[in-house]
Amino acid sequence: MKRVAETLTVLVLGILVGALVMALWGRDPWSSYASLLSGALGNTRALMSTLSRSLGLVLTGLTFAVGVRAGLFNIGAQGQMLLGAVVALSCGLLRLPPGLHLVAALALSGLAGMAWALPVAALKLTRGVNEVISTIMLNWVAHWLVLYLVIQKLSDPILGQRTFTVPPGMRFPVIRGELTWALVLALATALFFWWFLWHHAKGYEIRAAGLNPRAATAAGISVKKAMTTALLLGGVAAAWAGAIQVLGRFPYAITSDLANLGNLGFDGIAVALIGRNHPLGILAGAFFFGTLATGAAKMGLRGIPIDMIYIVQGVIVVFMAAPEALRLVRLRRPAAKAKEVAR
Amino acid sequence: MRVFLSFLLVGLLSLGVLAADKICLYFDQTGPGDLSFNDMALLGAQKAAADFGLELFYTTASSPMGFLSDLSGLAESGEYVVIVGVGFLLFDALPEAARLYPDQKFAFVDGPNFDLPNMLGLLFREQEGGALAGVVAALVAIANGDPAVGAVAGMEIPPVWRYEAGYRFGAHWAVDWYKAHTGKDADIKVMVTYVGRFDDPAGGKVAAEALIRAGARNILGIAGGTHLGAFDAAEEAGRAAGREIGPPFAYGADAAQEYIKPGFILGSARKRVDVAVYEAVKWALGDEPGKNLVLGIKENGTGFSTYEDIVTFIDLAVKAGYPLAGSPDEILEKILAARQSVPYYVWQALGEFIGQLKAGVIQLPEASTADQIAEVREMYP
Amino acid sequence: MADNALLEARGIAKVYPDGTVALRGVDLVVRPGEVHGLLGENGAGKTTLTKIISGLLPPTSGEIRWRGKRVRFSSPREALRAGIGMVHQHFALVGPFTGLENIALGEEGGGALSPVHVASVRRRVEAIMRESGLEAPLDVPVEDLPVGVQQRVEILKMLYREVDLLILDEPTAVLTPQEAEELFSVLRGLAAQGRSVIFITHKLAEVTAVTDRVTVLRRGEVVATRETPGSTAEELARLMVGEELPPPRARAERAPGREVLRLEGFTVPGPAGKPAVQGVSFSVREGEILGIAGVQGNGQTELVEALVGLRPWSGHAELLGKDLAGRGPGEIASLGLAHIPEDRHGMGLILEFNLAENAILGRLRPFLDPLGRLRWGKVYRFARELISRFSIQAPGPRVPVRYLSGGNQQRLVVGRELSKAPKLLIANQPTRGLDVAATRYIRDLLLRLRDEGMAILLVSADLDEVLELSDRVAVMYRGTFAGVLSREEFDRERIGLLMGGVREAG
Repeated sequence: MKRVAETLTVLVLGILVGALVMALWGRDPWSSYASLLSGALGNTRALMSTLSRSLGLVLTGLTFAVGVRAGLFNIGAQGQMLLGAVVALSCGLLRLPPGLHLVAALALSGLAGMAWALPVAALKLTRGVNEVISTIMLNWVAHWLVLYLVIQKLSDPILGQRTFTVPPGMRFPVIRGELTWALVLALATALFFWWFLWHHAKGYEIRAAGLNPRAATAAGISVKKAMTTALLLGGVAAAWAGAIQVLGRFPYAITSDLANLGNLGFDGIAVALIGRNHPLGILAGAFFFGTLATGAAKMGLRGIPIDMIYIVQGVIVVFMAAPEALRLVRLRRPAAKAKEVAR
Repeated sequence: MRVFLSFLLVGLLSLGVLAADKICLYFDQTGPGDLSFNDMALLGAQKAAADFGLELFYTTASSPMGFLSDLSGLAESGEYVVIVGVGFLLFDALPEAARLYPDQKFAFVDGPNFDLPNMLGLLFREQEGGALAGVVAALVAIANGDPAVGAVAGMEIPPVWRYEAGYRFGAHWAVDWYKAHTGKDADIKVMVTYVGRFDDPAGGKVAAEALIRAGARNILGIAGGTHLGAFDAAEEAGRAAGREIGPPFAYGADAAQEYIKPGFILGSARKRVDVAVYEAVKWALGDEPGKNLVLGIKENGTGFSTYEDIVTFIDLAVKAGYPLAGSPDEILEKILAARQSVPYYVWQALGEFIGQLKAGVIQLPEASTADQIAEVREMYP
Repeated sequence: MADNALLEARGIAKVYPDGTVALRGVDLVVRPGEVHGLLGENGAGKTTLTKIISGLLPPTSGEIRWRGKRVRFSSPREALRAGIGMVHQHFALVGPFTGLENIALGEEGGGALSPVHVASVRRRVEAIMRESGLEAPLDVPVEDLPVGVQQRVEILKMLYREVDLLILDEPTAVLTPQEAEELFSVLRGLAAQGRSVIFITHKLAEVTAVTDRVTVLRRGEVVATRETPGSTAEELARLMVGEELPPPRARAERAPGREVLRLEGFTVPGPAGKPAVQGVSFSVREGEILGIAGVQGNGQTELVEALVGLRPWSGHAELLGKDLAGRGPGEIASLGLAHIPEDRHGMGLILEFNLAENAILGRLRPFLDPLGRLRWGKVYRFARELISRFSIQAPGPRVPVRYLSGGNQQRLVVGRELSKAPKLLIANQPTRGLDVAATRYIRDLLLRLRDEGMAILLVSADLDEVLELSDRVAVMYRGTFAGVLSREEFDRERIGLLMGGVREAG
């Protein structure tokens, strides 16, 4: 409860600083914020757009959060997300009945995400390689690999600027506007993560290992297994974040600069920080981010330079994320010491 | 929730009352400031706004993830006579928006109309401008004893492919022309580097430097903001060799870009985006249903930069506060000096080519699909 | 204002940022030339008070007069300059530096370690050692010195800075009884020279042994200040605890049963290649408490951690006939071993978890359904049961254990470990940091378990505790057993010598 209050305070502060920046630029902050809100939530169509944009963030947010719960700073969501997207897309080359096609694409994409998380776990647990280093490197490998596949192997035969679009039988059906039933996948995954962490033995072990690896080890919990589980689960969530951009969002393809996948993986980190690494908080955080992203365009339409919107976004994110980031650093210090002993 | 909905309703109603009296330009990325494609679109829109008494509004997408919701938001406002989508990346979102909002008129610069009644497709025969640049580049290269000509390209999309196809054709035509007129053999390779982005001058510079090292000292830029870096590379290489005037020479695209690096940019393959946008507004104010408008050399939609073009764009740059490397007169003088530095027969050949093109004697290869460009690349290496 | 006061603290209160009230208006007067005892249980505020006096913490309110002048030190350095020095429980020494270098270091101005300066420091330190009788080797890296000697270096450092008030925080915790006695005579000598000492302790015997006056703290308040001569230990105990405690449980006479744990040539590698435990052999039987005494840092921690599966080891160890080699903590626990770790916060509990979550740490299986789901209903029932059975003072099973007092945290750990129905209980420093009541509770519980037939390995740096509870005592010194004594052979002085490394013939 205290943390919720803290988050709200920080949100208000962030919005105020954003307003100050706009005022210094000679813009009216309140009408800007009003247009941001109306652009993101002002009608059904806008709300659907916002929700649709939030779904991927929910999933990559979960990836980071489950890592933190296990005591990891897993920033590999970006690479896993890209890979998940391209594998889901590639499934469009298979011939399968509608519906089953979608399920198969999700399954294979999830497996790809896991596969991309596996080396992180292996390097960490056998060679002691810090996950920050390995995930950054794997992110780049994934980026170039996916870029190669998208441009050279999967591009549309007529249009070079994107890949082919996935067949209708492989898409999430539309609920309304831009929103598809990928909504259910994101919500169900968040719900599963919550259930798993707080209602399953393995989730309990992940949390124990993350909070106090020494005590967990002493209690017979395998910290290595807990970390591996968290990394693999995170890999699936991140891969699905990419998959639903292809299977559940217009234009059902990947653009040749990967721009329609964006920085989902990295934005997920901020979402998780805002959501205090709790699945429910992450739902809220992702929606907040989706609102900013969709609403920012409307602010742009009202003549606020696009860069100003980035400043406002950045300010709010920094304000929101700072307390949690601090807490994380504090948590990691004793944890690092304890790990030495556990080894 | 109910309060929220009624708030929305009021908001919508108040918007619906407004009459459409604005032109909207929606850029897919980077926006004005590229001194080329986007600035020209703005130029055409400004002219149309002035001529037809409309207001002008323009904005740039914050992210490709938001294309559809941005366009939807614009259409919903009901404020715009026409929403002109500028940029090929809007290929999916623009027709989708046009289907969702059938009462809103859209125009697609660089794209087709998708058989939609409320959409004007604005296409160019980029291959024509590319071919003109190819003729000039290859002949200059031959005169300087270079083994190749080059191009720094953006993304692999049809308009860029068409430029490339024309450039390749023009270069090979020039080799044949040279042989026919001098009896001497020449061999010119065409090397094209795709940087993958339209907003990466640093990447464009690196690509151009590599081309120059490989002997391609005539480089066409077909990469939007990215090929501004190619201009830098040409100037730096020239100055390093102690020259005030190329080689190497770069060639601009879309706009007449010679003023950016006077002396080192010999000419520009024109693509009159301004003309297209102007036509789009004209169409939107009329009753004609959607169609494809294809602009070529005959429609004054493509060409090789003329004296008048050069003067116009120097003027524009001055007005935009662009930091010119000297007074407008000095700049012009230097650009013309560069043109006079190459053999006169280059311009003779160019004139011949334009004549044959307009007369339909020359048929340029089509390159609007990946297969077609692959074929062209094979045929004109 | 009290006349003849060196230091006078009035109305000192301290509230920590997290809201903990450590001190509620404390008065303390230290006269020149006295050893002033500061007596109180853990958490009474002794350390907080001295940290305020020595400039390490700012007081929330109250004032301090030093030689009659009002002062407000903003750092320990300022206090030191004025003549107040504190020796903390964790020493401020640089391990690889010699004693002399450590003394020279930290002196203001550059060139603290230049040869010329160090030479002059040596002359003065040697003079101080002669004068005070406090001897320490000056040319050995301090990390190679026993803890008791490191403490002397720390005190010499203060004397070198010419402090008039020396504050010692629980100095005897790391000393053998003999070393403690030596320290006491040094302190008496300092007092004779006119310097003052604040001596923090929770041991009554030490108060009567060395102090001239004593101030008793309880829950952040001064209960009394007394002249030590004329005060009885019972009286001070009552002041400190504030309540009458039931007499300790009597130990039943019982013959030990079958062998539960057996170690032979048990060796645990330590840092830098030196073994921390070297070829130790012993066994623990049913209905027996084997106590391991010794000054901290002589391999006890490593021995226990290796036994429970947290460290690699060599040699032979078996629990109820099963070889422990190659087994991890979970597996060893399932063989019937329970462990009360010395580091409650670091190893025994997960502070962010709530009471119920901690109650099942290391024992999940009974609370899972076949699919691995946690049956929270059962967990909370179990947690409530622990709360009532072990008298844990907690608002409920959902309270984060961070908010429990040390004593209640330890009851939770003990309750949890006993719920595993172990055959062998390893209790490592089970009462460290607990108040008197909680200490009594835990000790009585251990005795009862012994009477009921459990095998218990007790490791404690508190010699009184070991002597009270154990059937046999092993003294650990530098990784080996310096001697194993049965109850009839218990003799404080003899054990003290063993703790100090004095080997017995035969």
